[in-house]
Amino acid sequence: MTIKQQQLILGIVFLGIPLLWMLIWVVAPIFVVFYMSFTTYDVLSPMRWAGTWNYTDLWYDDLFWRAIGNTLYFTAVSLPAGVFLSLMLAVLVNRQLPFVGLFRTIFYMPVVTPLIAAALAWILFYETSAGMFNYTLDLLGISPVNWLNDQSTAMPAIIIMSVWKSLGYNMVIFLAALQSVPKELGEAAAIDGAGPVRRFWSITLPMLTPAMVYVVITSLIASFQVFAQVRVMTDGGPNNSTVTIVHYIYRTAFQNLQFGYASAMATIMFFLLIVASFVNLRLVGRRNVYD
Amino acid sequence: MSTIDPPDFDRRDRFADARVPTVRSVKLRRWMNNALGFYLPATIIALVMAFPLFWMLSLALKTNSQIFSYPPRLLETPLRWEHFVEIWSDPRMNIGIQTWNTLVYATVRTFMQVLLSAMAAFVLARYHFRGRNMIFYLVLATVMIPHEVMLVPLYLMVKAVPLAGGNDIWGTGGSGWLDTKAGLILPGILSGYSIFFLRQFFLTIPREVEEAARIDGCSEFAIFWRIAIPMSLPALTALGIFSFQFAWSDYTWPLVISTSEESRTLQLGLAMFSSHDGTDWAMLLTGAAISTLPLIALFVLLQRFIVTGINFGVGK
Amino acid sequence: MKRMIYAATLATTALASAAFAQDQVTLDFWEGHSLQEEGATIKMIEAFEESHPHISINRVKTSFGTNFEAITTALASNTAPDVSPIWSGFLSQFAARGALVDLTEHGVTDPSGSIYPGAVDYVTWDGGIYGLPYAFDPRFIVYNAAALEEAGLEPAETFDEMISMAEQLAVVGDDGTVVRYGFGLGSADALAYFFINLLYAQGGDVFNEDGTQAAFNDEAGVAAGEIIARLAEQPGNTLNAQGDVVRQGVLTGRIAMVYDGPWVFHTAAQDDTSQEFVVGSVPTVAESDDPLNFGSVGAYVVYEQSEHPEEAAEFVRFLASPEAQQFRVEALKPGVSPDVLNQDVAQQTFDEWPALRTAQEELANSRIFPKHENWSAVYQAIIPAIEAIVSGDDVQGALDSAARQADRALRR
Repeated sequence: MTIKQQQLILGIVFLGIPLLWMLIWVVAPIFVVFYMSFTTYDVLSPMRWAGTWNYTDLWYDDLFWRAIGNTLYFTAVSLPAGVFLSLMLAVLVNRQLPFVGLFRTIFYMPVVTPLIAAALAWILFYETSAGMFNYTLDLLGISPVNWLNDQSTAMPAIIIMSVWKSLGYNMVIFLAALQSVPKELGEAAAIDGAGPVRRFWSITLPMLTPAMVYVVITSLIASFQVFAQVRVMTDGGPNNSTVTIVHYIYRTAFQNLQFGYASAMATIMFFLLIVASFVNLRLVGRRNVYD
Repeated sequence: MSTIDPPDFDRRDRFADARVPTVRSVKLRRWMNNALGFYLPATIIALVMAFPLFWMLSLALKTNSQIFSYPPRLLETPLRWEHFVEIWSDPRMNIGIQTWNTLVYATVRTFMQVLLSAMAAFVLARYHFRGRNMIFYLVLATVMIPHEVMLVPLYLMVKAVPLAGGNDIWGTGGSGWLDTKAGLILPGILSGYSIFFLRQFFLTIPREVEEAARIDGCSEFAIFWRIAIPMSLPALTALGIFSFQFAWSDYTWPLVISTSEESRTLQLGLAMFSSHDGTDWAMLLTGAAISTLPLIALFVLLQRFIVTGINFGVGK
Repeated sequence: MKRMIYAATLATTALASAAFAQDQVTLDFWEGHSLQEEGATIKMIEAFEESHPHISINRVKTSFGTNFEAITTALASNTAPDVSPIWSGFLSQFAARGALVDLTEHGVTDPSGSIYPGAVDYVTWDGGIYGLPYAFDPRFIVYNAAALEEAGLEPAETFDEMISMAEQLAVVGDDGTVVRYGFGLGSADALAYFFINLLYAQGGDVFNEDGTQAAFNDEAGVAAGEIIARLAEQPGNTLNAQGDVVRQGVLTGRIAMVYDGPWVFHTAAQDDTSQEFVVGSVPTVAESDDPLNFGSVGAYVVYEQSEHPEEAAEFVRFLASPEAQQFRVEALKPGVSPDVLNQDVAQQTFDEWPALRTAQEELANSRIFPKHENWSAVYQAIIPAIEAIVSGDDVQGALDSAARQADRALRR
């Protein structure tokens, strides 16, 4: 067989099997969701065609807009903070010293703790009448704060917990990318008199672009889909200040049994994310590393 | 712990040696640099990062009322280590079977995910053909719909798998893969994330390596199996660890798909401690600590691979 | 359909019992009870299987949390169990959509005489009986006994008294730090139920008469909201994210009083360091008013997809009977049947926990939330409004905007 023939067969088999599997178990359900968004469906009775009704209704749904706003707030703070801090952590542990592995493990551990349990522990930190934070304030003679029960502090409280939970994951990816930056480049620049900050900025950072693209896109998607910690810690309250898109979708589907309406929200979110990822690919990945 | 890296005189230090003559002052300076530049900040950050984890463990070692006592105490004596024994016979959780189920779930899913993603990512990264980028962007787009809305369609599909669980060829009449390990594992073995991840890596394998192999008469399959896979073994390990951890922590899919003890996972077991009547915090956190241990062990064992594993865009 | 899953179980059971009964029936029973309730449920099932040898119960532990993802998806694909517990708005939602069996078609008669009226109300829908209650939790005020004694106070009788008591019992320092909180307001669910209780007490209702519009923003609603606003204003009262924390707060003396239900008994029983507590009825507007509290019901329902509705109906009827309910009292929950007071096990428990008897008697005055097939959407509009009131928003304005949200949900 010629190389071309081999490549053709390999390409068809290697790409075909996974894509077929994805077509069945990932793409098909997505199309069902698209379809459901044009129906009213409560699971218990058959779907009914509703045209674009769900979408027009969404337009007038204040809470949906609120959810989008809250999600953007969450993303706008947690994404840059998370990316920046995990990069700093990666730089910190990117060295060969005794015990560095121990530090890496500690920084990674929050990632692997079950989210429900971690959220419960954080609730106890934040609790008004018996929490650790308010106890500390009390020792300093400051009156207590309703961390999770105040509209202005609830979202920051969730953001802090979420950043803590996911720092290690991105740190590992940055760490790997840092390790592959050739040391010679830094040394050459040092000889030329560049300080460590400038070396990092003009040499290391550009080399990190591919990792940055991956981290930013996956963090963007993850923060757009933030749900579990919101559900456990505040369930959207107080006064809807922490309702996020997926939280609202979940509630609409599984509490109000409006699967059609929930699907319409999911569809809109899908397109929002496509646009956001595209913009991000253009901005972060403009040194195009893809081809 | 087996993760402690040996001391290493890296090149920057040798560079410094050239400028500073006495060995003793070099050692002292290096020690000072390491202490102030690494150990001090790293220890402070580690304390902050680890405190919630320590807190979770300390909660697991308290009784439920001690958990809520005010002022909060770091540790209460006696430490209730017996929770870690009692949980193995707690009727709510069935932690033994569930650990086994989760292990099977996470292991099988991880292996299939790594293999299938590697196949797809290899073709998407190394071969040039029309529509390649289109396919890649479509694959990436699939991760942008929240999993929660897909539960019902997926569930209906799992039930309608032909010739399984008493189904006829049209997928009717039986329960399909519902409440089976197949139904738990198979629908989730591929995700856009993992293909994205590996494609980023395969892009970085130098073209020369591939060309040289072809000249030596390697078949295309051998290039994948004997060159691409070994070269990216670290990346595959990293992906493996990440997918293992995601499968291990997965909650909603196991929740809807498993009804019997034979397919229930640890996360579902943990959720049993939280009910309409309130939460059994101590046991929940004990279970959480136990269910976290294998993941930490895995990271400790394999972190070398991760660290040298993900190698984006460099060396191209 | 789900028979396939349990085909093996069935076959074994059938073999073993073929000699005794030809028509052995196995019912799938999904539950997600707490440890406290589970113990009682196991005893109830044992008693049932003993008196009904031809029916066996396959109890499946399912994690429900507060929702029914597992059941909802199972219903979608026709693999639902025969029987499961259900609570909050789900019964009306499911009944309105034809997913539940009307038990009157299977020999269940109107349970009004044998079960508290509030609980009967919950399972009645459109002239049918779509489940039988197994749990009925009244609300009352729990006081830390030491705090009451120290101030020389008795449980409050009117809301005004309650508010001034909260202020008296709180111990707040000059710098704003708090040694003991007065009233534990909780959050989300706790706040919303408290509001509905107050709304009922003021003579108001959530919906208008035909259920087409929200009515909780009328005078009664505003009066109810004002009470919450006044409590929230006082510096010594606390909001908390978790019900457990508030309850434990009263038991440790960190909080003086809380609006809570029978969960406090179980919590106190589990812990030997907890302080004494006193249970008082929910106050009224005026001393002469009839006592009234908010009660939440859990019911066992039979799904339309069940192949053995007759046997399933028999099972849920048994679970609501006094002889089954006594095991719940033993687990420190009130029974749904007033006759449970005559059962031996229950009487022993009541002697040991006199406050539990008070809670049990409160059930006669318990009123549930309105039944409405869109209740959950309306409820989701009420919670943020009360949270807004707590944070100092204008009461009328917050309720009006919630009513608009609710009306919008009703029109859908």
